[in-house]
Amino acid sequence: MPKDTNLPNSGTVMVVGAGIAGMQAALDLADGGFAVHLVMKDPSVGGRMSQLDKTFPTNDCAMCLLGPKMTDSGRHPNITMHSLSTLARLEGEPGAFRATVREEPRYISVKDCTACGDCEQACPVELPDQFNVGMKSRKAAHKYFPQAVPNAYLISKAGTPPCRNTCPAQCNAQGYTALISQGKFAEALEVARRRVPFPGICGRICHHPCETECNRGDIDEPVAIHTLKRAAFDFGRQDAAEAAKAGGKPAHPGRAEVTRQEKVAVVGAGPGGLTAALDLVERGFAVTVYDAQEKPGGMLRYGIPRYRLPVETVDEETNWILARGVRFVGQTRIGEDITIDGLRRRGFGAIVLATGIQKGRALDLPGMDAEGVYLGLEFLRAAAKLGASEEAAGRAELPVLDGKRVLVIGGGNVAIDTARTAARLGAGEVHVACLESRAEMPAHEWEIEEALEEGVILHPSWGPKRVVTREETAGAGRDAAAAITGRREATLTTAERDAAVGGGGTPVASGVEMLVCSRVFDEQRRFSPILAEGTEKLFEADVVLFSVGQAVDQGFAKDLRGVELTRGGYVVADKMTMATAAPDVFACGDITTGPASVVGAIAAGHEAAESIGRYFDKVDLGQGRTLDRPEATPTPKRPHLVARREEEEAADPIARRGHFGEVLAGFTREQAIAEAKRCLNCGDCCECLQCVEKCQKQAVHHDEQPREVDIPVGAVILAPGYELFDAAAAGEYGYGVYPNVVTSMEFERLLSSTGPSKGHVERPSDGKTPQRVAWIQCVGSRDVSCEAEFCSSICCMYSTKEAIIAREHDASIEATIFYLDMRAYGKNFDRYVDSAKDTYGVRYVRSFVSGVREDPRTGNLTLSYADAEGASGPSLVRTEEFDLVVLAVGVRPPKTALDLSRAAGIDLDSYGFAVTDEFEPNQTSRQGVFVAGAFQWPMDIPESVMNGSAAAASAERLLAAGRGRDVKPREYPPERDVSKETPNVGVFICRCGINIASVVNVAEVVDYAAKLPGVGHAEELLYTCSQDALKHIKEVITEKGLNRFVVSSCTIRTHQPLFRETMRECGLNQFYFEMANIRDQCSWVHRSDPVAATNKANDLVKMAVAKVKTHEALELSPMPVVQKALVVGGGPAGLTAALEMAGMGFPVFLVERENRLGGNLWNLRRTATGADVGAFRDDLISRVMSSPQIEVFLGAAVEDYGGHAGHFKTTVNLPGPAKASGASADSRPTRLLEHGVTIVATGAKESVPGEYLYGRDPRILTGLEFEERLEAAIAGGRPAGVGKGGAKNGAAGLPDSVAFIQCVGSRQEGRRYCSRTCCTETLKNALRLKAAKPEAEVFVLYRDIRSYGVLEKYYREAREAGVIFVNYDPVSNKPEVTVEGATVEGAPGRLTVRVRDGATGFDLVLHPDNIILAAAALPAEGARSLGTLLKVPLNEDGFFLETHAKLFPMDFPSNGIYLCGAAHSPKFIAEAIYQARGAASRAATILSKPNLLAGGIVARVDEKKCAACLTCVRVCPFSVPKINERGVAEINPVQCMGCGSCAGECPGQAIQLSHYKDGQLAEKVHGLFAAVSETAATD
Amino acid sequence: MTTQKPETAKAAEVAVGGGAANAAGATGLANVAGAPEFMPKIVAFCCYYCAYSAADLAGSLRLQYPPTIRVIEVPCSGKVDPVILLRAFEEGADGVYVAGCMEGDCHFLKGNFRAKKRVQAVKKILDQIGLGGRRLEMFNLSAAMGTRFAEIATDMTRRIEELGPSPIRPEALAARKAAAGAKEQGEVKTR
Repeated sequence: MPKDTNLPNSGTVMVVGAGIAGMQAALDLADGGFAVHLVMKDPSVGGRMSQLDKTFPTNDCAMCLLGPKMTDSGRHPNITMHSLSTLARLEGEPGAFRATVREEPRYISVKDCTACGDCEQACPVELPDQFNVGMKSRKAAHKYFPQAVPNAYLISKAGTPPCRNTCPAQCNAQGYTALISQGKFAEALEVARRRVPFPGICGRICHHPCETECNRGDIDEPVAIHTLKRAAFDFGRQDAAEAAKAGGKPAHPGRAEVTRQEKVAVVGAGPGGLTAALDLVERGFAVTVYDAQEKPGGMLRYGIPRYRLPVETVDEETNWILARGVRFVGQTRIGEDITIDGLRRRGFGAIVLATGIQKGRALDLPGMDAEGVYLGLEFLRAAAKLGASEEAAGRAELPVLDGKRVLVIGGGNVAIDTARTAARLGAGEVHVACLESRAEMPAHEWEIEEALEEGVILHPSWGPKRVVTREETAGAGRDAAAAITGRREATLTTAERDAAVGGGGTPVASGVEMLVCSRVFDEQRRFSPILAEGTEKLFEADVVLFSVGQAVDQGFAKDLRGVELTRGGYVVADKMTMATAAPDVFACGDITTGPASVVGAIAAGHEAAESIGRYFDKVDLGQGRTLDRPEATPTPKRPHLVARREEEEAADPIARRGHFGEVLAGFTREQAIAEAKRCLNCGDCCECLQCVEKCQKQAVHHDEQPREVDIPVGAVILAPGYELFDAAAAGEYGYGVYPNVVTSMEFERLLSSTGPSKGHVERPSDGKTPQRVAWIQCVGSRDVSCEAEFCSSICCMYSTKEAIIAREHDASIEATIFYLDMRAYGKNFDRYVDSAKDTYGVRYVRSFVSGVREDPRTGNLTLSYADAEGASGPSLVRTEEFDLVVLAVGVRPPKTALDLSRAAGIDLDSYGFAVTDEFEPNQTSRQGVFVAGAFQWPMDIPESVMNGSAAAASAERLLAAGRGRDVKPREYPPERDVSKETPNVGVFICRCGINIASVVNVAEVVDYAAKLPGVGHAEELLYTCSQDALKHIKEVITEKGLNRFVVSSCTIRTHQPLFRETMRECGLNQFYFEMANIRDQCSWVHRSDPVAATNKANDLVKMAVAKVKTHEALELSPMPVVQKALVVGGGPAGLTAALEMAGMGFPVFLVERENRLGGNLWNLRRTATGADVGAFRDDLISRVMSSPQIEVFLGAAVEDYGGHAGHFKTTVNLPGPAKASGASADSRPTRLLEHGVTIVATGAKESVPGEYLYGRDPRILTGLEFEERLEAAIAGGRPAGVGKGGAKNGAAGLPDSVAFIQCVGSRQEGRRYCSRTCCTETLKNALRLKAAKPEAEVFVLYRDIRSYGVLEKYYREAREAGVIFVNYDPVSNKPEVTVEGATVEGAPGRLTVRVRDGATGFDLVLHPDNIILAAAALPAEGARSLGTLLKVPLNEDGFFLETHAKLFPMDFPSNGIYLCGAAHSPKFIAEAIYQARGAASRAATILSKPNLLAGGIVARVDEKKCAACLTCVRVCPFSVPKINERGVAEINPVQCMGCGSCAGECPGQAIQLSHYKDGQLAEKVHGLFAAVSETAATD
Repeated sequence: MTTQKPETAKAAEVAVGGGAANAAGATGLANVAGAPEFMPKIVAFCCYYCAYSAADLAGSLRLQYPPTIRVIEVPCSGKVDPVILLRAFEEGADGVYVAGCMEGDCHFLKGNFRAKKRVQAVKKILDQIGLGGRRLEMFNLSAAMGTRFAEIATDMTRRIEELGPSPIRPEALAARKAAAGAKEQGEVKTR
């Protein structure tokens, strides 16, 4: 038992979890003067409840109930929110913890976000919406749900997708793909260009490793990423040009501004060099690029054949880069025309070597110098010059190939390019021979395929031995010459033979002698070819092109000046920073790595530029850089449809051989969009940065990182909520396989008007309205095979609710609920189920559904279940068809439970819920850490609210001394009295970025407002709610002497408090303010009619101005609070509530009717868990009696009651004070108590059964009577199985057989409620008896076993112990109890029970020694009269009626009066304890304040007009109006809730609701229709 | 489980659904037709907790409805009294409605029932004075019913379009006055 010790240290509490329980705890604490840190893993408060459509048993709209609490949490000055956050660590001691919170980034600043949604509109990524359980899509930039608090957007990110991760240049493939999927080609091009300055080129010739890694490949085929990049370029530049023409932003950003002194020289204008140059220019450096060739592009221009890459594309892309300000100097060769030192002398502060590898590698073979032998690379370079300005030069360098046989040696891409180029230059036959086998060839497969299509003949696994000349072939005869194709004789004409010796004596090549290559690589994968001697074969050819590798042009090697080279002649450069041995020289691309890819060169160019920037800035080159790539995101777990990859069109293979036109056509726009839609968006957000561009508040920050914050707190409340069972794990129901099998949460979203079908119940397979809908209960509950022995407590009721609401939506729906036990154990639950049956025609079938099968044609589902109805023998299996099946999935501990338990240092039970003590239901295993809500065990909303308040109370008691310590009241300047001034209104019209301004003509509204009479100032603001705008408003108000203030922007729900705050900061009464909603209720809903929308905005402004002129200053005046409490009732609830408030430091008066404290605790011995009730009771009573704060009145009753919240006056009737304090024994019989709050805890009692022969046979007992005897017998006292004075039964004094009859007096006409505890009490006693006497026969005759939650364990244990459960129907076969064969001697006859078992249909006759009746719980005596005195309502069962079943389960409609315990409804001790604590927490929100602020928007009576007609007294739902001593109505401003019902009804209009007075509303109406003069307003 | 029920239910659903879908279209068509356009002005007294919130939600969901509604927020529909309803008509409103929480869901317990009664009473008065009770209506909706808010706005606009401009609109009165004045100059007196 915790001691009521107050830890002095902290006044701050952390609440983890912001569902209904967490919010309740946070609000109670904050209202009670504690600072609260609300830590939630979701982006918004609200929890599960926010997803619900309606709530049971009232059918209230969940969001209506939740919304106000969400808003209150969001704007409470004492609550700090941490969204997307978890508790990482908790160190220290109760009262002085240090909590570490890990906050995940939202990427959109909550502070700056105005929730305008521009980011969402721009976002191209569609993802499943978790809020709608994946039944709807949302954008990556999104608001969690429309009413989310904080009311802000966020971006979801899952990491780096494999495409981007794999790309050497980190090109954002998902980004441009997502944009293309939306048809945004120009934007896609921008994204592609960010990391790849040559998107058009890379879109054509990149070897696209991204596609190999694409996760889509696991599903069907990878996304055609590189073809999409080409589409981005091809269409993007068209679109950008058109947009520019239409006045949009220019297609090219223009020259970058030179902002730096330093100059950089780049040697080599290939992809690497140009990338570095562009990056450096963008960083503000002046960059000159030198290249040996005439034009920039390097290999792109002079290596890659035109049919793969048109020269126009190269021109366009290189020009784009040069136009950014890169200076290009051509025909300048390093080592010849310039040197490294020379560049240094010219003032270049840094030099990038990016020369590439320009020379083809020659082999050291005999005959290499023969005429007709060329190097492939040089051949390609010459060919590339054709068709452009360098045509002549190209022609001069190229051999004439017309009709000749060409042999290309090599198996790489250059070889294939060479072969295909040769074919296009008119070669007759083109052969390619290479060392590698076909599979080993290094050339890209698609290149080889295209070459083969074009007729190139491939000879893999051949290596060259020597070049053969014509002389030799002529001399050696023709035999060996036929090797190439084997199809034709090699015939040499005389002329040819002559030619073979050639002019000038140079031998002319006639072919290559080749050897079979048996292996290319050794075991270590090193290049080590073996050519088989003796396999010589002549490959005849007129022209031989060697494409066997590239070599460094060592030109610059003459002048290294500090740069080191490898033995192969490559420049030694750091792989990460590209730094060489010379500090000012950097190198990138092929010159450092050997021949590599274009995209690799681009990547290196970026890195070199980065390094140079750091070099100049004198920043460490390596800092924060790494070569390691993070793990790429896996395939997202989402349902995907198989979709074929789009194929681009390729030119006809025969025709394309004739020219250098492009082979591949790329995608059409439509194809590109379709292909882009195949992207899985593995990274969630694609980082296209469209949101950054669109957000005018600059609130988007994609580089945000997770952060950890340490927060000192005194106590922690854990309310992480619960998870739903994964229905796919219950395979027999076909969830995830049959589309029309949905979970209850999915059905909930189907019902919701914000759900995927806007509240129309549609089945997923075909969108049809289902007619026959079945609910299957206990899916993942009460099922050990699903790791849930427990009952989920809520499903019976939520299914009932869903069935009712479905029927309300569509009366033709036939709803059937298959259940095992209908667990309607809560307040008004049974009535709710009855109404489902009787009013809504919901069919309940008590049966276990063994399986679901789908008819694939109709999508309908057939259920198999056991049916006992009407059967007199063993049950039959029946089948029935339904259109839709809803699985009532059970509750699971939160997924975060394990991490949270570790972080908070608390224990979990075997189910994974927090371990608590039965009598300390909110206390975890660690002191100072409390639990609230479903993390304790499965519970519904009202229980969670009670529980949340209870946890708050526990924390408040722990930190009683810290109350108020960590919260600072805001201070405002004194208010200026403007009541005598003429109204001078300032009107501020908000543009809300473009949210209002794109529809409403804001300037016109401003003009209009300025003309309105009384307006002294009107202006427009971009975002009225931004900090700078508020500052400006304050200045204007002061400067212009404004005394009224109108903001025309969004909704009062979210923003009025902010602007009222601004008023107070200006020293004006906050009520001199009015708002016009021209966004949510105008621009957003009238987008297609800007003129009408502007007119409407004018009207709304005019109305606001008209009303604000009539506003009056409303004062909130302090009313002193008597910081003492009255508790009525001294049972477990009353005692707990008293102790709780005393522990918080508040004096308590405890009034008990009986002459002893303890109430029902005297009647119970043990709880179901075996806890000793007596010990608990004695401890509780002794703590109460010894508390100096609690004054106890025994045998006392409330006699008179008056006053209001903060100051009640109660007269108690005393037989004599039990604990002397002030009143002496002589001063009886009454005492006047003054207190600020009242808690009603009058409890309940067991009823006296009026049936089953109770009272007529001593062997027939109530549950409590039996428990008393049973425990006494076990303890060795008198026998248990006796009636009142009856004979002993059995050996150990225990009966041999007993029959329990459940629901005696409950759930029947006149008392249609469940007594909640009796099932478990019966299980407890049955188990107790069985344990003491295993051979005893125990029968339980029941209607539904309502062992909800973790109590289910005892039901299982009872069955296992051999207790026999017999289900009876109260209507058709209620048990019959008789006494048979009574003998004349007076010996008792046999007790006989006759009943038909509902499960089997068998009639049973039992002869037990005892019959135990589970008698109903009744409200306490005197409850009704107390209700009348306190003017608080009771329900028809006689239990007290709370304000609202869900929202305020401990509050009465009258402020300051609370209820708890069984006075609310029957309940267990633990439940009474937490409700009592909850009531104490609610009470503390008043007790903790020295004053209550009264006034503001309340009803006021004009006594002169009042005729005391009592209308207001009758009308007020809160019983506030009274007729005072002057004979007129009086409305206490402390109690008035401000609804205005009385004002609306008062026949004499004597009552007015402040701020909404008749005259004020009339002015607003008049304002709407009043004509406005065209001249500017004058005062 | 009868078979007749589904049909009626479906018919109702179609009518409701169609209303929302055609909302923008209806006004659009009126504009295109070039007919003398009647853009009704309808005053809607909306309770803060449900109807006003639902109107905001309609905005968040970007539902489109005719720009004819002018919302006046009240703490509870129970505040709206007959005088202000009549006043709105007197000032020239073509239609008026009160929108409160769902029955049984009132944040202030029973205010919406009060409002309902008063609306019924004022409807009778409107019938008696010849303005017609159909120009006034009471609706119930929850804060989560953004769609319903748009439907109500559309339906009410349609209804008022059918009924035509209020005969006591200031311009209507002025026109009548002018007409009467032309006949018998000086005899007509207005307030």
